[in-house]
Amino acid sequence: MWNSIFGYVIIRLDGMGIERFLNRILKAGIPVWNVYRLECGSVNAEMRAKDFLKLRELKRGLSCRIHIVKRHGLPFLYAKFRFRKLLIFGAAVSFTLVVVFQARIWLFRVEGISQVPEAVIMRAIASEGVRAGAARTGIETAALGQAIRTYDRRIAWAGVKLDGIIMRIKVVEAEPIPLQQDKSAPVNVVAKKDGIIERITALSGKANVKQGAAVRAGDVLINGDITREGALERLMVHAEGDVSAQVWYRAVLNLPPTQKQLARSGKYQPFRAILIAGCPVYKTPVAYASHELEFQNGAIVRGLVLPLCLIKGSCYELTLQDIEREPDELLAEALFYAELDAIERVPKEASVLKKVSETEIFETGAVSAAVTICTLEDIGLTKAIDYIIED
Amino acid sequence: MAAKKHKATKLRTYKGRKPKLKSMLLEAMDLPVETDALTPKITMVGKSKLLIENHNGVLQYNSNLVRFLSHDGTLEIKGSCFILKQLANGRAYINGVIECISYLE
Repeated sequence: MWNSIFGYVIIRLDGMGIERFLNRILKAGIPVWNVYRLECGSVNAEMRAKDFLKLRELKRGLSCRIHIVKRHGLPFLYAKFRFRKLLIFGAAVSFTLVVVFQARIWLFRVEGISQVPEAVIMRAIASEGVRAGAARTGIETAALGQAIRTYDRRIAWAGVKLDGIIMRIKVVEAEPIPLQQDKSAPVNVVAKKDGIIERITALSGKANVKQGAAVRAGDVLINGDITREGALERLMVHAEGDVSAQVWYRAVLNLPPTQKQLARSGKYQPFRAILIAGCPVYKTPVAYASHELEFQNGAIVRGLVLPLCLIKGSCYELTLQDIEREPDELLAEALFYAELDAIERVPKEASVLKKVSETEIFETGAVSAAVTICTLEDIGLTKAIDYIIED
Repeated sequence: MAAKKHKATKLRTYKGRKPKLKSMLLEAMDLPVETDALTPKITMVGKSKLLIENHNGVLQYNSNLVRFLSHDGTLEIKGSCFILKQLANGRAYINGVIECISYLE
């Protein structure tokens, strides 16, 4: 490092008596390093720049030649750039700016938030006196994390880490507390969808249907009214239980043999454009609402002195036209969209049991695709019992 | 007369030179021999690094052979890819594949 600061040179020694010359250098107390012999017989060595001038005296009487191969270090760098004052000034300013700005916080990254808005965290940080441009020193990250936590009840934990000019805030959100149901209110469990009962377990109340029964949406599955026949007083409970049923989702899509699509009408006009450095400076005005450009072979001229590009081609008018399509292509499209439609209606928690696809091609050329998906899912829905208190 | 002759044979060492007072003093004081700045000290690290202290100059240098002049004779180092990483008065640090170190009388 010191050699780089004070400057050093790589010299080449040619001729006879190189060893003798090296000994003279050593006797004179001049240190040399990285001495190695080249294939041509010359020797390369490194030495301090200030010692180089002493070599002329030591060389006397020897048939040895010395060349400087390379100069390294600050003095040579300074000599190279000393007349370029603006460059040195710019470098000094840049260095100062880097030193000044790297000691401050400029960017904030908030991680782990889904419910709490980022603005809440940023407001909390700002309230604690940390803003963009604040000095890194003096920020107590542990205390800041604790402080952020107090600004929103949804924040379970917050940690702050300084990473260069970036402040990383990691937030762990608290789990939302589920709403407590009033277990004393009398309710029924009703079907929220049509289906066939696969399994029914009444934890509270009386099961109204059996396995294999077909139910409609709104049918009572577990009854909260457990009053016995002939009882004087009605007995109602908060019905609870698991009801799994097979549910079918069916999506049908019919497609006509022709479809409206943008196609070339037959009209066209010549098109020219001039681009400089990628920006268009001239374009032929296009008279069509919808159009398509087609460039001629070799129409784009590049490689000129300026970053100029000349484009030549034709502009074709596009209009909406009835295009007849192949039945196979139509069928594949209908099937794809029908399946997509059916899948979109299946709830995430449902498990798919089977899928049936049906297709039909009509004489007119139209096609029809139907996709049926059978799932197993929980169809129970709690519903309050409407009853009248009899006197 | 016989005792005188015996003494003279004992004191004569390398190339018939008499041992200097410095060496005799070091021996008497149980100090390391190399502290007289004459006896070369050779330190080898692995088979690729060699430090020679108290040499009297480079006699020959190329990438396969280095010869140093020393008080005890010519020190010859054979090997390949030699680089004199450091060369100062009385001290040389060699990097390369060292195969053989020997003294030439």
